[in-house]
Amino acid sequence: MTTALGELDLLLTDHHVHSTWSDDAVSAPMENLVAARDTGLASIRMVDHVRTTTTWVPGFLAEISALPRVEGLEVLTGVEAKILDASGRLDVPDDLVVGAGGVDRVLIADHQFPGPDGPWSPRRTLEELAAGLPAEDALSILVTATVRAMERAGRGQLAHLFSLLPKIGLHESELLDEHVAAIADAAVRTGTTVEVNEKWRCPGPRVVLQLAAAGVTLVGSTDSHEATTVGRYSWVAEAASATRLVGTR
Amino acid sequence: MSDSSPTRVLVTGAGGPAGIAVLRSLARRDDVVLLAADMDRYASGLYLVDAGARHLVRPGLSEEFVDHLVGLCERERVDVLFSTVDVELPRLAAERKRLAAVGTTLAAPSLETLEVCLDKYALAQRCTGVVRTPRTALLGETDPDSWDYPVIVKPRRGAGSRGVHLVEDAAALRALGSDEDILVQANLPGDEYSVDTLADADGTVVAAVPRSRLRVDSGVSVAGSTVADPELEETARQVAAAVGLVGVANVQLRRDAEGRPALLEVNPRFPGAMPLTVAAGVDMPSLALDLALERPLPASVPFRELAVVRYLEDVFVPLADVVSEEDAR
Ligand SMILES: [Zn+2]
Ligand SMILES: [Zn+2]
Repeated sequence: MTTALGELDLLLTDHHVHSTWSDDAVSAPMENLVAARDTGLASIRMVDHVRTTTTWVPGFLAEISALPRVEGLEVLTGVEAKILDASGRLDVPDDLVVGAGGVDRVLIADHQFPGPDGPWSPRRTLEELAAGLPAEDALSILVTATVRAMERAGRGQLAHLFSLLPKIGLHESELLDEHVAAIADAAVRTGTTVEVNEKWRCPGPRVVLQLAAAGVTLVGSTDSHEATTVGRYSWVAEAASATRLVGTR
Repeated sequence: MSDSSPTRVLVTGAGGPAGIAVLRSLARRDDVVLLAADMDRYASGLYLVDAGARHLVRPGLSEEFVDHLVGLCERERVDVLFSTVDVELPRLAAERKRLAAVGTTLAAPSLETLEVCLDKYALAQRCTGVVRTPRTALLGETDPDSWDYPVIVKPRRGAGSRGVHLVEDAAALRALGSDEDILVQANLPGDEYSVDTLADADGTVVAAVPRSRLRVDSGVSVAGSTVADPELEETARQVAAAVGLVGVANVQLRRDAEGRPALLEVNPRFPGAMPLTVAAGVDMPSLALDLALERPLPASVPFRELAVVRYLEDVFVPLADVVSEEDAR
């Protein structure tokens, strides 16, 4: 299994596909592999959710590496973990191996707001905003935590970047260009890929274009929990055609 | 959440009639994104929602059930969780705070209400003196010669018609031994009614819709009608108040020898026959969602008398969407 992505069109990639190794997905890795082949993907990343207490990663990796090889289809692995706090700490097991002999990438997820004292629920975040936390500061905390998480992850991938915002009453249009630039710089510096996510329809065109222009590697992502949705894009297709306009593919 | 973003609602027990009833009701709202979960990947209700919104959960009795469901709610940004599975409800109600900490509101009565409803002996004690109740005793604590036969014998805990049967005489009752988890209850002679009852955040009953069951097949009502009967409605209201109901419950009543309604049991969840109540004018899943979202409910919602017949329906799915058993792990 290699991790070389090259210059694949992001529509030929699906770098966020869950299987029954996750608590809640419906399809097994084999079903996802067949679906990826049938939709003509060139690259799939099999991903499952971890937390600090997760112990099944070696078994997951063994099952993925035992899958039959499909000509022209690259199979990569990952684990998805949330950013726990403003320091960018990730909800991954201590003994997680990233790179040779381990998972190819850690997917960095904004499942909760990474507060200074740990994850904040959407309600808590809304309360802090209502109590006077400026939206710009909240966005800065989120962006800084994301940058720090990229530095900690080793090899990272930003999962559904900014999908949290609507849930806490904010919108990507409130992001400053400096916020997006900080993400882009860190992504290029750390080799972190950023997904364009079909399920959560994020990040939006402005962020995608700014990241692409900065040379960030973008990948397609369905965040699929069922084989029938693997590699199926509609919203992402529009984002992909926009990135071609700036020559990044 | 901001007013513009749709409410994400997860319904568990998507394979059962209650889960399907809730999914169908909420599917009519354009401010809702529906997610469905079941422990069985072939649960039919999973296929009522978008492919990306289908999830598997662990069995409600398994050790990791709550951890996994809380994780699912967090990742899927679930605003409101409806559980339609009996064994899940008390476990989830006990972890309401953990769900709230990831941003999810559980649309279910309080743990205290669930506990009194799921223990039929505690329920009978709670409601005696409030509404009519048939004489009820624990098998091990009662003199078989003191009953008029036949009597009903049923498990103290648990839902549905499992383990419920008639005992014809004192000798047969004595032969059952002295199990503390078995209830003996006077067998009321009259008609039976299910009253779908919704109480608001203050415990005020917004609607109580009695249904008669015209025919029962394997414990599921296959034909029935709503019944406008103020005495049935009032009895259900009193029961709801006695158990501290907030949300939806199904109050089972039966007429005694004088034709007056008496309480049999309370199922603190959505019944499978809910579509009739919805069609009769009271969309309880939708109202329960508003309640969970802390939106004001109307003071009362009227219903009309309506009959229902039911039939099995085929759901056709492309073969590729249903993967063979050996492909599944
Ligand atoms: Zn995911
Ligand atoms: Zn995620």
